[in-house]
Amino acid sequence: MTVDTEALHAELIEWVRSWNEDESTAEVDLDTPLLANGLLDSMGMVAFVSHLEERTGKPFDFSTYMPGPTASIRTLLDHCLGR
Amino acid sequence: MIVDSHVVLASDRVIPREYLEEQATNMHHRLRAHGRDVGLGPVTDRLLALHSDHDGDRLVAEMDSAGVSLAFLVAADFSHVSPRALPPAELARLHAAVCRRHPGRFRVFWGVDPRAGPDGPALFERHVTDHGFAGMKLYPPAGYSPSDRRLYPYYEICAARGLPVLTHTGPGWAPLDFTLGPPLLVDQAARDFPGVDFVLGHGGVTHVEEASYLCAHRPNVYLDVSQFPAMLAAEGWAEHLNRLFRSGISHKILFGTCWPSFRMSTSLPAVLSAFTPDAVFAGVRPSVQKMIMATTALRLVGDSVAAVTPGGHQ
Repeated sequence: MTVDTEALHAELIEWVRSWNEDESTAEVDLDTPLLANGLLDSMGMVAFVSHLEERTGKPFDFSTYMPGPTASIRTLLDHCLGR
Repeated sequence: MIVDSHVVLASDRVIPREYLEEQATNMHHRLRAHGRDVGLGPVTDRLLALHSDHDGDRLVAEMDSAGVSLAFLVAADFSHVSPRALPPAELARLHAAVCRRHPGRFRVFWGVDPRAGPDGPALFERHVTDHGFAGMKLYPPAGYSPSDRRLYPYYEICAARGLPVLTHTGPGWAPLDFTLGPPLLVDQAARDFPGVDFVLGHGGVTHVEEASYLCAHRPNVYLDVSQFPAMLAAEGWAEHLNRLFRSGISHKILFGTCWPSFRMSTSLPAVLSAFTPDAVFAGVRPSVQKMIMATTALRLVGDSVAAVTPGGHQ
């Protein structure tokens, strides 16, 4: 599956905003810490990663990814794409 | 130093595969309820992939990143309730091998079940002697009370050898019986064996009031806070732990995480980053912090702080 990275970035930012039902006051960009800023909880992380897998067609390997407060759209996407 | 007093090997040899599949189903159900049409298959695959750390290498890597010197590796016996569970002797060998591979990083709490029959206590004692296991693990939702009289021969061994008992409390793996999770079920055994220390696993997270008053009034009852990263708390787990740590039972509390149960959303270094004086430890004296994070757990298994350094002992 070919991934248009720029379009995907915009889509993922929108996904996070949508997950928060546009209620969060935190700015969302590619490098916003998603957990530390409360933009994703544990369920949100599972849902976001599932969406990443669906959009990229690649499995997200949790065994080699150490999630933490600084996890961002960029770090999660890069890991999913094997970068 | 930090002792994580409750971790599990992230291995589907230790946690039966059908339990993990049920966990994935529950996650899938929750996501669908929130309108996220996520496939059950990928969620299950991801969870199963996480449970392939059969030799403990990934766990030790996270412990290193988080500054955790030692962890109590908890090996519940599911052999009476799951056809896929490892037989007890094999479970013991697996955990002994992990300890040999990572010297000084683990103390094992080995699981028993009262249905093991008359040979069970001798087998338990043999594994303690042969492998140096540090305590006994009970998982009552598998179908028994921790005060089941068939466990008393095991408790006599624990009393004679100074071994603590870690008993699961609260809900557990979905196919099992949650009615056997309340902490009060341990009360009879705790009264009958005042020389045995009982730790209520997850007692600081579920049934907290019941677990706390047992700790307050029974000298030989403790609780751990494992599973806190995934607890249900509107105010968040950091605030919950802070309140618990400032309650009158801080001398009975063991830090623990129940790694890898939260591993799909956060990690050991990430959760430990909140254990700071302005978050989890706000208003908690340094001496109390040390008790919770290490010294009480070490005392229960008969270790000294000085003895516990990486590479020190099994």
